[in-house]
Amino acid sequence: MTIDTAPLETATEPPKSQRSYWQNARRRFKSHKAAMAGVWMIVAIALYAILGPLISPNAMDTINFQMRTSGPTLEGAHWFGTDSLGRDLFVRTAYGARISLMIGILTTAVALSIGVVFGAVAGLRGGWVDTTMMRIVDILYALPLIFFIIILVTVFGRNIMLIFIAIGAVEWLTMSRIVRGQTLSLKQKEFVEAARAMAVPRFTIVRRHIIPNAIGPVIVFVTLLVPANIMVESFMSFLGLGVQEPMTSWGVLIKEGAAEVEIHPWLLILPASFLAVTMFSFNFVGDGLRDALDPKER
Amino acid sequence: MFAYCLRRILILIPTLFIIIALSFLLIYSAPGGPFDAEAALDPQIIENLRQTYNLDKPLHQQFGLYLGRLMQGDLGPSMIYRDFTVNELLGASLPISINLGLKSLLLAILLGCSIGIAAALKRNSKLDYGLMFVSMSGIAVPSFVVAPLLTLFFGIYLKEIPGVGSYLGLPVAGWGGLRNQILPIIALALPQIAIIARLTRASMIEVLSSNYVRAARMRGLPERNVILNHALPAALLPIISYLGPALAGVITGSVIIEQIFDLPGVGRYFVQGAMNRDYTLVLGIILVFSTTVLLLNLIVDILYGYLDPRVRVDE
Repeated sequence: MTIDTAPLETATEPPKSQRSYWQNARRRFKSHKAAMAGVWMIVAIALYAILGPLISPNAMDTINFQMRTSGPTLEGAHWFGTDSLGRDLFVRTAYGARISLMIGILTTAVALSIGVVFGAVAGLRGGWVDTTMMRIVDILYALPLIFFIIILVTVFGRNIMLIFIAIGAVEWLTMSRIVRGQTLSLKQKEFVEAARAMAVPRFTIVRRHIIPNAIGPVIVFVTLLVPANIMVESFMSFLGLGVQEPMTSWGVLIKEGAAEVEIHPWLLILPASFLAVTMFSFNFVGDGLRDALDPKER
Repeated sequence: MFAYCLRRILILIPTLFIIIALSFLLIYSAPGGPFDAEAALDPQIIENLRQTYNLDKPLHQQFGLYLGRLMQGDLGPSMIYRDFTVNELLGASLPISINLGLKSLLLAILLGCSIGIAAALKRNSKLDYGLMFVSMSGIAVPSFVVAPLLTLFFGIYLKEIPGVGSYLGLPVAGWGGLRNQILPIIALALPQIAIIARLTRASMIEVLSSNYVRAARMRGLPERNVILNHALPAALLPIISYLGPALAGVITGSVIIEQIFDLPGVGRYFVQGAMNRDYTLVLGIILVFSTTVLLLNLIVDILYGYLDPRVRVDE
């Protein structure tokens, strides 16, 4: 991005009017303190998810009979304590972070692909295609979607890949509405009309003109969809319908902790704090991105 | 307006049909069945059971039979809770869920709007930041974390305070008087309070900076008057359109809350039913929930068109 090797010492920052949209957005985002804090927290949690199990001498499924439901202690390197079977909570929370983050990102990717394609097709085609497609979205919108996820998962088995697909397949609706709205408004812009007049192929118009201009709101929504989907997975796991033993996720850990909250509150509080901090961070980043990418708002 | 209402009501029917068909197809095409758990049963007995519940017929025939009964308001017999029809199960559990859901929704609207308005009026003050941070926590901390912590605090820690414990402490399970209901209602309402507060704040800020509010101020109207009579009605309009999603959120949350507080509501039956392949029960519950959400959305849309003539584009 930056070219600072040039010998031109007079090349200072370009005047404000020449800075590109993305450069401006980056500056605005960097000055948003909560959003930057959110970014660093997400990085920290991701590092913990990757490195945590490597640092700790314990494995996620080793049972330490001598130290069941121990509180956080240095003894045996159980920094977060152990659960009712004597398994190390530090490592398990890190594995939970892996699963939860992975689910958040992959489900969002699924929702993103379906939503963008669906919305773009509806918006570009227009007419009865658009009407029909948006009616479908309206109908699905009216459902309490979590129930469909529950059915999908109970019906087709509690496979982790299936959870990805089920959540993603259900959470694309808002995305498709956003993309359709963007496409509809962009379609009427002069530069798209000009491209069409120059007989630019439809696909190239989408790639060169529609996508780059529609991407702002999509990015914002993606950052907000990741925590929402992590929450859905935790919800499912809490009901016992999500990730299955011996694998774990934050939802599973919270469920186990909630059962013993009276005697061993840290079993609930530690994983729940990680979940909450992740939620906070993604939401702050989303807010920051919205302010940065769409300066008209607020 | 009348034609618009009629069209909206008419579109409900195909919508519901698609919902039923989709759920039916999903549930019935799945591997396994409601009698799987009893693996020791004689194949002939299973065959008889399947015949009794019409499971041996081709799928489209089953669907026809189901629709036929549905027309008469019969959701069919439960396949797991023998001797009970789905209507009976819902009849016993729905009142509890409705009671819990309505109270939570009411609490969420009242508290959420108040918090949002207060934050908007004191925009960028410490109060605003404080309230918005708290409401962000309501979104970030899920109800299945809040609920156990609430029970820990009110059900156990407060009860142990000698003297006042018996007043302050609250029961953490069961469904009886209002005292039993306080914790589930709060836990269920919290996320919605948070969302409504943020919505109200955003919409109130927008309205407060609009021209007609400025005009009202310029005419020298008292601030109280400006806010209550001019800003507030317009600012609360978007909240009405959020009622549908809010209800869906409360219904979803009730699945967890009923599990945690051991309430015999519909949400618990749903999870049990889905896990045990109780086809008719699951379908019945989805139908009831979807119809409720659809009807509320319909009422909200019509109400919205009535309150804000600008959105009546469909006419």
